[in-house]
Amino acid sequence: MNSFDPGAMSAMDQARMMQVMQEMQMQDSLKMYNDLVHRCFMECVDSFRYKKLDGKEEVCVTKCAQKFLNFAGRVAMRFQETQQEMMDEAQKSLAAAAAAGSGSNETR
Amino acid sequence: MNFGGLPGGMAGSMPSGPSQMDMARAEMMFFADLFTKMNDACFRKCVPRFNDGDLNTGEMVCVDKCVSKYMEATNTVGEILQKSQMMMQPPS
Repeated sequence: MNSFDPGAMSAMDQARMMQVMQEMQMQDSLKMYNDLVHRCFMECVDSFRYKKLDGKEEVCVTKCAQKFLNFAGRVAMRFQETQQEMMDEAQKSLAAAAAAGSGSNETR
Repeated sequence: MNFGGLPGGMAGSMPSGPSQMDMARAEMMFFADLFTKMNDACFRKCVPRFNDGDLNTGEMVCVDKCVSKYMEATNTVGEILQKSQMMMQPPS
């Protein structure tokens, strides 16, 4: 999936890349926070008699957030597994192509 | 906002992680996004139909309560996220 080779970048570029990735990660986690609050609020809060969340709503929001986190963690795990499988496949086919290439040279 | 646990800056002139500007910008974007979503949530909860353009008393009261509840929900979720370490410290 990667169309660039991180190893070929200069140290400066790599550091810059790390910085960009950290910034993206930070923005992404803040966005996830807001999305989660919105989603759980819409699901759990339906009455506006009082200024504070009542016990039931508080429990609902808590459970909603925890469930989403567990869910997101599992998705991340599976995603990483599929990424790893893809990389392994790519490595294997590269190795096979290299072996086939060197084999044909010898027969010349 | 702070980022407990990030490595310190590298020696020399290498970039060393999100700068103060980046963090301030991220915090601003966070609050802007929060505001938009709160707007959407409270509008959908408090204004079921559109008889006229003005807010009636009930809707005004509902909006006040809704904003308060939304902020409380934001803090609750923030605490949970912090505990699970899925994110860096939320803006206070």
